Amino acid sequence: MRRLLSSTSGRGFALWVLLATVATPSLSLAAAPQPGSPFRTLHLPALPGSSFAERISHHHAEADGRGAYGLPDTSGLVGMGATMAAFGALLEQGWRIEHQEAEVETDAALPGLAVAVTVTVEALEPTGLVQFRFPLIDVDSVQLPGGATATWEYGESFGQLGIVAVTFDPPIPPGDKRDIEIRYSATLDCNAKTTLLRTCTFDEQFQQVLFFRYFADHAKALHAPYTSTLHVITPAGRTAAAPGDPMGYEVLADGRLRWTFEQAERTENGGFSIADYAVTGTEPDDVPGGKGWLRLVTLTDYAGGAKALHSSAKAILDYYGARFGAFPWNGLSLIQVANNFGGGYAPLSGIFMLRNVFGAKPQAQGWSSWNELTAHEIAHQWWGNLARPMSTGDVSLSESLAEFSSCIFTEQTLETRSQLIQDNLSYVYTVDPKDDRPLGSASVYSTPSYVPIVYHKGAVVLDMLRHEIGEKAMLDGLKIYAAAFDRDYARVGDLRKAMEESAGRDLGWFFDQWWGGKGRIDAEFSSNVVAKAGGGFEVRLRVAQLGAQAMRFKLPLRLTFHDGEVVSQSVDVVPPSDGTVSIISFDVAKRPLIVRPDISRQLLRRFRVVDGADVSLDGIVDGVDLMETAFRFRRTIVWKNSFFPNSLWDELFDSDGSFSIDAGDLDLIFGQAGQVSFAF
Amino acid sequence: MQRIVLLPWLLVGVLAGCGADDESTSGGAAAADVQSDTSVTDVAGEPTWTVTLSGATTGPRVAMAVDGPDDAGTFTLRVTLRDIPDLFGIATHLRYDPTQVELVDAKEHAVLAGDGWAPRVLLKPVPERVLLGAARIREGGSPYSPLEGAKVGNQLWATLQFRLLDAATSATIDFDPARSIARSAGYEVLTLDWASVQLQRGAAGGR
Repeated sequence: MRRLLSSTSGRGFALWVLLATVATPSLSLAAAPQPGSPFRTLHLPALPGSSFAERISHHHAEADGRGAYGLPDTSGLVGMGATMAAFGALLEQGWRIEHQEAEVETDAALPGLAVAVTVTVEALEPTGLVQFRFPLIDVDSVQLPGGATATWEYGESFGQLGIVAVTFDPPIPPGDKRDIEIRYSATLDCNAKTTLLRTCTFDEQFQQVLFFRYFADHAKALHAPYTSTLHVITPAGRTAAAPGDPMGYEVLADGRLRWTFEQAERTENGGFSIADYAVTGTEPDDVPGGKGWLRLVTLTDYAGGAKALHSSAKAILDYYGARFGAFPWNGLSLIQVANNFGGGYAPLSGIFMLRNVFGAKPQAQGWSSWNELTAHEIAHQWWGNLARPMSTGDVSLSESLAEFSSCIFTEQTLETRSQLIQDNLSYVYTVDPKDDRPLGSASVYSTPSYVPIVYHKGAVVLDMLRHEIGEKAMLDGLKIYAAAFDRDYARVGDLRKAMEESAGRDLGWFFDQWWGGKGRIDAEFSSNVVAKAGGGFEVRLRVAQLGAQAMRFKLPLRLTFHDGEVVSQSVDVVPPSDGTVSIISFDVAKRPLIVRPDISRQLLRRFRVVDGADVSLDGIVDGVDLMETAFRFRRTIVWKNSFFPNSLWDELFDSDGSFSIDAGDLDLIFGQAGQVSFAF
Repeated sequence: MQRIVLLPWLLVGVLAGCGADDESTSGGAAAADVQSDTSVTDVAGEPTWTVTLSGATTGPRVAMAVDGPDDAGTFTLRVTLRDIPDLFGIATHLRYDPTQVELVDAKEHAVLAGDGWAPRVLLKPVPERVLLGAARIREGGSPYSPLEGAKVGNQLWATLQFRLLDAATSATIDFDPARSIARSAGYEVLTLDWASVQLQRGAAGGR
């Protein structure tokens, strides 16, 4: 649901380039070779103030726990429980939460909340005990309106979760409902470091509470979504914003305002914000199909300038609606929150994003970053809210799909693959093998590399799937998946089934490889170009995989001939069952001068050439290698001791593995000039 | 294509400027765009060799010039880059027949120089070939700022000394077209004319 601002793209990237024009890179690498591999991981000391270091730092923080509570997952409900969960089990808890109505007052001085929440529960079998899960709260009272009798108690679990247990005697008969009103107060820690994004902010402009769960959660069910009504009390002159349908406000006797939001859809996610807001963009045809409104909730002085964001969001909705299925809700609110929030958060029908997104201007600095963020969060309306991940091991169904969707939107509208490439490089260069986890592992939350794995690798894996089965099958598969799991919980295997249906073939190997296994493609190339007796040439590529797992993949190749003709084609690399070396062979009419593997970095990979210098892969080290290296000379993946993802980096030309294309690589070419690739 | 037989003194005159490194001149246009220049070396008591140069005389090109052969059958081949307005890198294989000639010496020359650019030139003899390459190497600044190609008027790229073997009857030295490529700073493949030279035992005009 959440995505940190990608500060290394867009404005960040432009800044890097600007800085790079006036300063000579100073490299100080602390990388050590990994045993058995020529590929190294960047182990860079955090650069204080570096945007990327900051980004990673927050990611590490979120990896400590589930994040939604800003707490480590000690409940056992996520993690171990999730791995065993099945959809059928969700309704086997004996009772469920039907609806919740909460009234929330803020206390900016504490900061804190005073909440009265009425939970309507329905018994699915005779129910004598219901238990609700909260953050730590101070319970004032638990009452049953209507005269029903029950006893209650409040306890804390592991010092981090509050549990309200209500005992009914006699038990609630199956099919009966009970309202339980819980009044409590809570102190908020808005400086919590355990969450990816700030839990809350109380300042002069904003009072926002995004990751404190004021509604009650079912303490036993893995998922127990509910419809809800939220009332937020604000001072006079202030406006509240929240997901759901805004129903207006009433003026209380003391002059304060009581705002109401109806969430007709079942969901467990929420949040609200209070500010001097203006609401714009409420034309009913904004959302595709005329189903609802695209509301921009901004500070009043941002209302005019946010038109660009409104147009962009509308384009994103159009793009997704045409590909994933019609926008599913009554409307969508884009809500401006404080910059210190650090990114975006996308509950059902409402998206919170940091302030500066709303001031973005097309073609201005940061525009692409803000678009990426907006596109990611809007994608969550389909991925995470409509079709929901069953467990932590399925989090890719939310975050990876949202990031992938954002990438293909920006790829088409901004005409750049830079987002995909930066995501690719982030995983490939910064994830230490010891921190790596399979994308589909329930333990993926527990690694400091959670974001590079789930967001970045996940998006690239989906992009590789797109290239594997084709654009149409990919989009058809997503549409099938979204329709099949409309307001439902899915496993990664369900996405696989949808993709197999659209592609018309088994994709078990792909999902097993990329969701079930760790790592990336680490491959060494060598090449022979052989004149054929009958005319023409045979291009032979030897692909030796060096990673722990030899990967199967579709390798894009671009062949350049002396006359400037360029031919692109793909070949399947399928490692033998008993080895790691694949020989690929194909015929061409003319001798290619340059054979470039994966020029647009579609694959999650690190490539190198055997012995380094024949970077043109035409079978001999010669002037072509010098020329091709010269075009990339001094490009680097590290700048001033910090990871520097850039779409112009290709480690194929970094023959000496120094993370920079430099004199050492030229020396290799000159030292090996004339050397012909070994025959194979 | 025209064929023109030149007197030896005229040929020498044509070749005289080949060693100059002239960034500013773009070379004078000849009467014909493409031609073969043929000279006859007539050494008393020795067989006469006819040297025929083929290639364009105007436009972007990789030209050749030959001095000799002398009494010992030794001749010098100079390879020059001519009239290429935006050249960032170039690579080729110069081919020869080792049953007819042997490579005695080979020397590369700096080309593609310019402010902020340190050119590198590759020259590597291998059996039957001489690998040639040249490219501009960025000296400083941002590795992501735009590349700049060299404006080449007339730059000597390589000087090669060959010797005709005693049993030689003819020898062709040319660039392998399938191994020849040049790119502009914008990474476009440039269309160049690549010269060749043929040495034929016996007088062109008979003797």
